[in-house]
Amino acid sequence: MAGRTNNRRYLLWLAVGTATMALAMASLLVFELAQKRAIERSSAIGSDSLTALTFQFEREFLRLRQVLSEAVAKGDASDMGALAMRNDIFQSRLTLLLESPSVAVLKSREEYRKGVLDLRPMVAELDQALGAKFINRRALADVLAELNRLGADVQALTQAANSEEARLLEQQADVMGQQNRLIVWLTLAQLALLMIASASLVVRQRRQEAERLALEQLTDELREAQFRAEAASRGKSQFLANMSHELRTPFNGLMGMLGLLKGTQITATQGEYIQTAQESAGHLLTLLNDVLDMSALETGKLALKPMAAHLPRLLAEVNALMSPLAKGKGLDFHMRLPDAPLPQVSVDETRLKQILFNLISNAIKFTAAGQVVLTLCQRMLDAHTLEVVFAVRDTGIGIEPQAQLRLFQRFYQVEGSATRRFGGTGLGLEISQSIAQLMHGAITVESVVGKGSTFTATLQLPMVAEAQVPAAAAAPAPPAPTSGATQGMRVLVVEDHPINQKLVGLLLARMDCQIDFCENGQLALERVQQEVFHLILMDVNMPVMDGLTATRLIRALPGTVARTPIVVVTADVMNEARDHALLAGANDFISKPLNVEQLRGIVQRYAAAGMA
Amino acid sequence: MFYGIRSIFVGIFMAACVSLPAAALQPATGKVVLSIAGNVGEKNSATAALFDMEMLQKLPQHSFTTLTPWDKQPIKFTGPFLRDVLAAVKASGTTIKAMALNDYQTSIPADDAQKFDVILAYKMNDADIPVRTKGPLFIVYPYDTKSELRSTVYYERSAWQLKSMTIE
Repeated sequence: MAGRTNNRRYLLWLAVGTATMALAMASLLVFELAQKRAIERSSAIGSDSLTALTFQFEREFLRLRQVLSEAVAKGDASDMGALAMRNDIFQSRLTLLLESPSVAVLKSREEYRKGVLDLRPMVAELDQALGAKFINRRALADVLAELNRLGADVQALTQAANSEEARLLEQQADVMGQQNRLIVWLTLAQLALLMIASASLVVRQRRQEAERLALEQLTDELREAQFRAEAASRGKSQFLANMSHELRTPFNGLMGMLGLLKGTQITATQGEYIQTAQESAGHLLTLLNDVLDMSALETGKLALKPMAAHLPRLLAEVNALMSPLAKGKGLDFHMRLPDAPLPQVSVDETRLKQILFNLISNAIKFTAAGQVVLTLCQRMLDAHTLEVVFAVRDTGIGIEPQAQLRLFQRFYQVEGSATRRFGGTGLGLEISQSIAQLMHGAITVESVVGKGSTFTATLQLPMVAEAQVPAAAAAPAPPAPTSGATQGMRVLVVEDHPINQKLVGLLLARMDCQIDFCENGQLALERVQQEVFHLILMDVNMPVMDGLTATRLIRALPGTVARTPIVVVTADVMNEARDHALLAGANDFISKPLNVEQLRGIVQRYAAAGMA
Repeated sequence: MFYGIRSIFVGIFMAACVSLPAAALQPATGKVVLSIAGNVGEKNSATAALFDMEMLQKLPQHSFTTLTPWDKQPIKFTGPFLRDVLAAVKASGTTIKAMALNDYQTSIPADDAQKFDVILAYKMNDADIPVRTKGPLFIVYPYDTKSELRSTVYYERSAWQLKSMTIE
């Protein structure tokens, strides 16, 4: 605002300055034109100079007088022609003095009257004397006397003309001088104005430069500040990710132990307590996973792993998990599927389930009574793309319009108090939205306060040919839990954490495996070269040598030992963790906290393969 | 008769192409009003080419009206072009020295006669010019046609009461 006012003032000054300058120049021009005209006029009038005219006049006067005096002295007619000629010439000069515009200035002077006008009777007399048939000497002598008398006046006329001309010249010089002075002043004023203008331009230029520099500095500072803020934010995300990761290790032990405890001889009450503890642990795990997902999304590390999927089977799994939840709150939960068969699509099942779990569990969470319905619609976008719309409608508390806008923002819950009432990280919807966007879709919401909400996830999924999809029935079923298969199996557990060692040890002991422990990759590498193992469970983060390096080195060993099955076990659930493990040469990958069933499945698979 | 045909013939020629050299100069029969001496190819006397008024009137005639510094009103001047007069005497030179009855002398570059339509006027407002009013001959430039002509240089070259010219 201040800048604009400044600018306007500057423009005003510029206009005023320019106008003044133009005015000065215009007056200068007027003066110069006036001068030019004056010079022209004076040259037009004075083209025949006054002095020249009077001088010539006096000269002819004198010549006439001389010729006349000679004629009078001689007294014959021989010179009469010459006298007439002199008279004519003299009279031509007289006429000039009477009629020439140059003489105007002289006419007011006494000398003009005496030296020109008073000559006329004499001229008439002379004309008469010359026009007479016979020469009248007397008349000529009279004229000569008159000429002699007038001589002084004629000379006085010349002098008058001279002084008049001098006066005129002086006057002209005066006027010129005056105009010149004015021109000089005007020029000086212009010069001063020009100086002021250029000085103010310089000042303005400097100020602008300073402003520009200040702005540049500010921009730099802002950029720096932004960079720092981003770095701080990244640092926090990293810290959260690290924290979650660190939490998972003890958590692994906790969950494993709870699972083991459940298998011991306990009373029904103890069983309930353990059940509650397990549920709490499960919830805690969800929260940890949310935080990890969030940081993966933030750092752009969350990538989808689309595979050919059978939507009805996926929905059945969702139903199986969500129905008990709804039933527990006394809500009606059901799904409405289209009549037409759902085609096969390529999708990251885990992430799709994550979205659906999030939407449905939110709906259940915020609905006290009534129903939660998942409706599925499908639409062909083109020959290769299917648009699938999952709409989750509830009869819950609803969301206010302003709140709907911020719904997908981080840490946001419908009310401030809702966090306490309903729990959760407030990350779920943001994560779901981000995943939906990765699937070329979006999640939208419609809601009426007190009536309920509808969350709609619209996804664009590429279709795949039927043959590529394993039928629901053909899905890899977990191997039958036969403890016999794993009996006596030699398993090397490479794990630095004592609690984890203990947990894995207990789990494997229950499968009748023969277990050996190593505390780091280096020890494991030495151990496998001395003894033969059927399976190696390899942790990743260990002192001395990490699990991935150890895996690579074992694979590089000569002989059959290099083909020992290695399963990488890690709390690192980032996408690339699996890739890194497989790239290092591991056969498989399982994440902590360890799931009893998962571990059993893995061990049995390699038992069947290795011991067969 | 012979004389008449010849002058008509010359007149036609002069009208068609003024730069054509004039035929031999006839002797002046009337009162001599102008003598041209110096580098002239045609003379009708021992030292100069002499013109009477009739000879000047036989040259192609021209008129223009112009303002002069010596009068308040525009004046119509009539007479032959100076260049025709010079051609008639086969003048060759760079400077014309003009002399007036009152001893006034002025130098006119010969180029002026080619560059401008300078008239050797013997009539002002269709009347003969007496000596008393700048006659009988008056070298007049067409002052109104060019601004450069309205200057002292040309005003000084405009000799009146012209009596003779010397070609140098």
